[in-house]
Amino acid sequence: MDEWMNSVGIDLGTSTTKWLLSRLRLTRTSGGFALPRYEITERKIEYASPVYPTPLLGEDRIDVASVVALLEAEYARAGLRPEDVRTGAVIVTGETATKRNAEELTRALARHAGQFVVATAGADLESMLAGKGSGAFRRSLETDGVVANVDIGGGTANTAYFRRGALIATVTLHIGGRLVRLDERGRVLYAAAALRRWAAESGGGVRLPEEGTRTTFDTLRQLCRAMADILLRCVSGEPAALLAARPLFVGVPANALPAPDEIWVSGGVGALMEKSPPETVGDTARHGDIGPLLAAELAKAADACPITVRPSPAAARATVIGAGTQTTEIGGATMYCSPGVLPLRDVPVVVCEAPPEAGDAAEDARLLREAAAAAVREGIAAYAGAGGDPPFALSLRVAGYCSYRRLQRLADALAAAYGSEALRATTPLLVCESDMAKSLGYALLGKLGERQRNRLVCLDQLSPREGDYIDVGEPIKEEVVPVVVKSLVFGE
Amino acid sequence: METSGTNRGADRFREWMKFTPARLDVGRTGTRPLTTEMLKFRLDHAAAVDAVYGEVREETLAEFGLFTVETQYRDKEFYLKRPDSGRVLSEEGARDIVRRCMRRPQVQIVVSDGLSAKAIDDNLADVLPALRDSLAANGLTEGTPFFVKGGRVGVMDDIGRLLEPETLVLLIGERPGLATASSMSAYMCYRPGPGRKDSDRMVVSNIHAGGTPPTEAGAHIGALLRKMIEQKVSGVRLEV
Repeated sequence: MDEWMNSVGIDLGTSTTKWLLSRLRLTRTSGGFALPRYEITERKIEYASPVYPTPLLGEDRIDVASVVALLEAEYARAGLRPEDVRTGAVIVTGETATKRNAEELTRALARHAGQFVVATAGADLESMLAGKGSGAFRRSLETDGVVANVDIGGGTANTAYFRRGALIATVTLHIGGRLVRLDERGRVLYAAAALRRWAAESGGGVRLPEEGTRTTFDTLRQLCRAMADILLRCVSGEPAALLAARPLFVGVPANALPAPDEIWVSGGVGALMEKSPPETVGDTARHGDIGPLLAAELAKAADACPITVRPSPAAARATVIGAGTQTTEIGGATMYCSPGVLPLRDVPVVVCEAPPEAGDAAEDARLLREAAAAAVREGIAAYAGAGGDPPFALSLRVAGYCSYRRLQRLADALAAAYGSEALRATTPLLVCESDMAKSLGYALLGKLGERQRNRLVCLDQLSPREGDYIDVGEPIKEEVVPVVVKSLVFGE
Repeated sequence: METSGTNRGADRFREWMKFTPARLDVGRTGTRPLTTEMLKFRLDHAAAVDAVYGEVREETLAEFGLFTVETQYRDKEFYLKRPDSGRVLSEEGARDIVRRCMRRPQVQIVVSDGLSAKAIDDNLADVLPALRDSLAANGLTEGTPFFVKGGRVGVMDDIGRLLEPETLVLLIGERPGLATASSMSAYMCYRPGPGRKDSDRMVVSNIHAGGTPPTEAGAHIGALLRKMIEQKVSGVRLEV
């Protein structure tokens, strides 16, 4: 009965690249007397690649040809053909500089990454994927407390907070092993701007050696100690630390964070925590940066931390495990989909919040028309210019019971809104929060223009948020489609 | 953010409660239930009894142009004691449907009160039009629908014998419980007739505002009927 699908994850980080092949088990989880509902019930890692240095051209461009060659060799080694891959994600992580040619990379990988792979990034998404891949997410299902996962790589430390399986916050700081690069004699080749700002604002509390100068082991150790200290105190939600760390935040600085009961550490630096600490500048610089020393200082700070801090058993590969096994959802217990329309990729989401049902039918119809028109207008203004099809997906939130009469009013409102000149030749993609996609799809068939009627896709039990992007894959079986919701913004 | 261990346990319990309408965490006084809970229990029980003994409103049937035939149930007391009486149409009922209904339709829709008239009153207006949209979208045509008073699921086979539809869907009131008295089931069968077994039938159950969403159920039923017609089978052998 159960189906399996192959999912690929690729993590292109500031310093390392990994890929992973996993198999996802698709199971009907609803009873035989209920509407069908499918979920991913098992995730098996079939193959994990070695950790490769990320091929770069200069400082800030990914060497796309080398990445593709690497992946081709890896596919061959795993005995995998691109057409066997159903879903997955390419995540370009780390400092934004390396993402400059991410677009080019996406196109180059499209053929090798199978028919359904996405390329995306964003600090919050990285945080969540690492937390899901590291084991912290699963741990949060077993305990009542808040479990934080901090994934420390070359460029950033991405933290996700989970409580009973729900992501409740994310935060990312410019703290990573490659923010200071060294030669083997201790000459500083590079020090990241964010670190310099932080050191400058600390009023002498943090000393950062100048680029081009030779530094001492003690100076580096103090720097790493300060980095480890501010990181753990920030992740713990300490208000004074959050204030002091303002220059280090990626995005808007956080004023408050949840108090975690456990902190898990993953990422390249997390994986180095259990190695023996470096004792000289030469030891420290064995990867050309401060990573090993930062890891050693982090291990010490962890021992002193009042909260339990533990390295993830999957530290080095947390993000790629998350990308490969945790990005896909199953859309539609029951759904409506015109033939030949899927897959759809990178569709931005616009939310349409239906008003509570008004007592009077005419008034309710008017309110629904207004809500649909406003959301569609917003979608056209923001996305129609880009020329994508569908220009946007409408995420429909209908609270309370939806009778057949109300469903008709809703379908009328949607058909009127989609009658807009700008949308007439496009694909209507509707994503409903509650279980109503099939009946809404059928209701719309009689109301939409011919072109839209033949392109209509209506899914449910998904609630992507404003600004998310979604991919809808080809059906795995009738009425079962893989959906990847790419959330780039979390929190309120 | 900081809550004690006990409070966290209570939080978790409240989360679980969202998944069930069962009477959890209702409290007690001494060894007895609270008065409010006792009254609520008796109210729900009375609603269940009313659903069994009630009758489907004329307006509900008129709205969808359903004519009424009866089974051999005689009266509610006999119906409850003798389920077999609800599986066969009265002589008059049999004559009526043969006279008034299209023979050998692709889809025969039948509505019956079963054990809850309220289920029909509350859900038919949402399920039936959605089912008709679904039939149209799936390219199926229906015969002449009607209402069976005093019906049991097995009446499908008696109707099948008389009208020989390709598929039959029976929308019938479910045995009411204390969580809801207005739950409806949709039973479906490919070529119903004497000798059909439960394993030949399919069902979508628990259709009501707080359970399987009625409009979505209607939409799903149409798609299931199409699969039954395509595969020429229903029940456990149908590949869904």
